[in-house]
Amino acid sequence: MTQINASAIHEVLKKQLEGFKPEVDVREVGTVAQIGDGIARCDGLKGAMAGELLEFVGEGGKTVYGMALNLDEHEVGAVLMGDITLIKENDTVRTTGRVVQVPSGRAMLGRIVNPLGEPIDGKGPITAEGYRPVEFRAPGVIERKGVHEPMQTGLLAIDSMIPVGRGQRELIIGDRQTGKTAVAIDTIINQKGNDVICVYVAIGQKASTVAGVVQTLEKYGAMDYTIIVAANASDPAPLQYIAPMAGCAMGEYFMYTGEDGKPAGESNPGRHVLCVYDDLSKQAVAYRQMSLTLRRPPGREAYPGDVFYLHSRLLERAVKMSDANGAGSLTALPVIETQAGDVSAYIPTNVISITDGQIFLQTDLFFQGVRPAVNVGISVSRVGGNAQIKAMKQVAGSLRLDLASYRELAAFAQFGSDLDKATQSTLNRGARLVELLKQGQYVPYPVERQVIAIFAGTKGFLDDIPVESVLRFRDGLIEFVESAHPEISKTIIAEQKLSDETVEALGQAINEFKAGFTAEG
Amino acid sequence: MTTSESIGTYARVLFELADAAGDVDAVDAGLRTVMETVRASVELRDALADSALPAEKKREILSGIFSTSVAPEAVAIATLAIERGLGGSLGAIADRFSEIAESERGIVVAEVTTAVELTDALRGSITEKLAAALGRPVALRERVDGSILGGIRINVAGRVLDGSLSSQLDAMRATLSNASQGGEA
Repeated sequence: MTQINASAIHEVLKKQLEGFKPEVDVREVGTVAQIGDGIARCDGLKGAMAGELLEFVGEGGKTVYGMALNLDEHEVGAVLMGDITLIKENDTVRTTGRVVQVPSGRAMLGRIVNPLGEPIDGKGPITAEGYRPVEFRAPGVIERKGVHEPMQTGLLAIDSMIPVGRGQRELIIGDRQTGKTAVAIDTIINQKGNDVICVYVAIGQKASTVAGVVQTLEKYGAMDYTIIVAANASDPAPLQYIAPMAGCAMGEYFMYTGEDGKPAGESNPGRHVLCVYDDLSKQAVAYRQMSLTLRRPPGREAYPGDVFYLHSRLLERAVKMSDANGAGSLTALPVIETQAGDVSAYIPTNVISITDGQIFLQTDLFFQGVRPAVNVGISVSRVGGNAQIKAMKQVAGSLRLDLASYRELAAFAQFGSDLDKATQSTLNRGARLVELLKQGQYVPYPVERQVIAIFAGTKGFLDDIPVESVLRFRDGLIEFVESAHPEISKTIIAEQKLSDETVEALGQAINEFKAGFTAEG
Repeated sequence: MTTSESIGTYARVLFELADAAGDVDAVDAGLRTVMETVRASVELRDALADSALPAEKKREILSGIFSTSVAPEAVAIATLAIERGLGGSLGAIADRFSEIAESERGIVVAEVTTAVELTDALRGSITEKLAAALGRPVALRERVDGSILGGIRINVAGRVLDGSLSSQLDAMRATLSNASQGGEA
């Protein structure tokens, strides 16, 4: 047996403790006056800050952390973020001098963490590069610039008509089981190779659902550039409440920092980040629970008065930075679940008014087989238009109008069969366009393929293809153009627009493919 | 009268009673004992807050529990406060009382916890240093607690100066268990 001497052990232990400096700490202390429902009311602590991390020392010296929220004249109301059963009345509570913060850094990529940044994936500790406050001031006007680069979701229906730009806040809203998460996951998968860091924040979901998402992302190789922040349904309300802010803070690290880990600036570009908050209605419910137990007065639907401020503060942190600040961006995709399509409830109206547009998903469309079930009539993107590439604007310009007139006529067409020629052709075109925009899950299309497909639809190349063959035609066409005429895709990517020559070449290629396709079918 | 004003009044009256009796420290400690006991026991808290229970009964309960161990002035004031529905403000009354006592007597009470009895020399130097730091005369209230292992813990003016061995060991333990969690940015 090898002999290990005591001095070697001593060395190792000493090395581990190198950073430790014994010091007398001076901190404000108070006592817990009352505890219950995850809320502690504390005496003393006259100097506590709003949102400060408090340290509760329970039986046997076990510490539980809390966050100071109500600063009253004689007491401080705090929410506990750990095992609430450990703390009793008369226990001591200490201030820590720091607001709630989370570890951040490149080591977080590919990891699943709780809202406090602690790993929960069993892959060992995370070597953080620093800490960022959970509540962070959003950049002001001077530090920003207009949204102008596309954040491709890879979904035809969205990238063509409801384009999302980097730095935008686009709401995904719909009833349960309409594919809200699917849109978000597809977008994350589509960022592969685009140098975008993704943060997926799961709030109040079942642990099994989160595990499913992780599995999907792993399968499509998307975990390498993704951080998952999970506050499951079984976690205390305060954790669900800070989860989106914590995820945002972890994402902000990449935006404010260059690839080399130094602060972003003119010569050191910041990174692009995509944050998905799935979903903010659960966060609002958690915040409502906290507020009511803290005895803050309830307002509409029993939500506290500042629930609007809670969401606007969070979403205002989505930003496109100016060149002087590294030109990084943070795009927010908040998700809201509606009840029976009711968008006039409190939280949906709030978040709709805060965001720069919404993607509306509907149950009836979903069951009609239109998937993604995007209602393009009421979905909008208020700033994304500037972010679309020119080629997409050229082909998709008439798409929205064509679909709108189709919907208008489709309602009438149900009554009679005697239709004039113009109506007939509008209906034909519309039915084919609706079919064209259908897309499977986890198969995002790069933008040049989208341009080819939509070009075929809006320029009337599909009008003589049977509706049920449109999807087969679209996929076949894309494959054909990529293999037989690869220069077309290359030109679209290089020029970012469709020149007259490209239009002609593309038209010819489609006719060429169509000749083979019709014969085949 | 607002709650805040009544708290001030109760504390002021209690101080005058205690001053007349000549034992402010005992009353201070007594009031804190009453407050902590009421807080720690759910049954007691519920009984005292129960409006169905006559005031007479509540008074009996309180005197039954505290009459032997706590200064009578403190019990009387606490009973009165509880009868008037200010049971939840006992902590605030105790804090206000300490403030009044400090300003009236011109001294600050510092609670000093050590693992062994203080020697006279040590006592002198602690008093001197604290008085210099706070700019006011200091009275020590000494406690011996073996569980801090060594060093000293001073609780003064709502703050804790923790130089105890046990908390340094705790900090060391935390450093070891978080060794790879990274530093400040």
